[in-house]
Amino acid sequence: MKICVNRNKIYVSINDFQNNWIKIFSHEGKLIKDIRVSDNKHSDLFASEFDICSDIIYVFDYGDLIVKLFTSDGDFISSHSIYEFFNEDNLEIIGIKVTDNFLYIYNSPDQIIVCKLLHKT
Amino acid sequence: MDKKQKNFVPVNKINILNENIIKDIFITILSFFSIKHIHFCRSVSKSWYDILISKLAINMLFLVNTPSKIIYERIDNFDFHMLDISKINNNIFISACHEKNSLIYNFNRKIFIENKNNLSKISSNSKFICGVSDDYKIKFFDFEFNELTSLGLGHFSNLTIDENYIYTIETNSCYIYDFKGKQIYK
Repeated sequence: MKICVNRNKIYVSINDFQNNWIKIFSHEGKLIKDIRVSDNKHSDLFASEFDICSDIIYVFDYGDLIVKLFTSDGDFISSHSIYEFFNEDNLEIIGIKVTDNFLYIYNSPDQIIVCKLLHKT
Repeated sequence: MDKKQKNFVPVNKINILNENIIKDIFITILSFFSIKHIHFCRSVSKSWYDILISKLAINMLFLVNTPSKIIYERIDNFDFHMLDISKINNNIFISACHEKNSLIYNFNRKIFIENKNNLSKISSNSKFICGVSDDYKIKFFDFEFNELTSLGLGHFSNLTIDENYIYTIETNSCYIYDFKGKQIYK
């Protein structure tokens, strides 16, 4: 399980055996929204890694090697395949972090994949 | 139609932002769509495209911070073992150990910071950094990683902080504490 806080909302990633979720709670513990990230394709209990930057939630979907973007209210924005960034040696993802212009995927054995975020309006 | 009538703009077509009110209503309706669908709407016509790239639409529809593409840049390999990575003031920090020594590495500035705590679950706000040490204490640091204070909150699987509270998560429960360790919510 992973926890993040953004603008007084609490975001928790959960794997319930069947699905991966990001659950959004109020400060008082009221469930605001469930975001279903993906099916639990692997028989493991890893909750989705996610990070929040500039009010956008970036979720790493282990199953399809996709980064999914949601608004901070939980509305889906887009998904981006990052399958081609990986080879057989770097498939064990530990987590992701996002800064203004970069997405960092850190994995075992001890490496960081640096990806650039292109903003186009 | 005389010249006076030609220049007449109905008052109800102008809102307080001095934008055409039809454009304003159109953007408000689209704000109920997902951003993905709003991007599709740009292809409908030239007038829709012009409205959806306007400053008003970008601000109202939350488009400004949304990346349209994620592209591979590079892989960095390390000769130390990463314990955790964290984001502090838009910089990436790696908590690691190398030959039994614990260290903190500023990934963006490529500098090592001395730290003896084997920190994991590092989080920060505008005032300080906190992380969990080997003995499961929450330790607080200034931005040079000088230790300020520590706190014991029992066992938890993850933690984060904001400006006012510490948030921890354990099976089926989230706990909120103030920075003195007093439980506020469960």
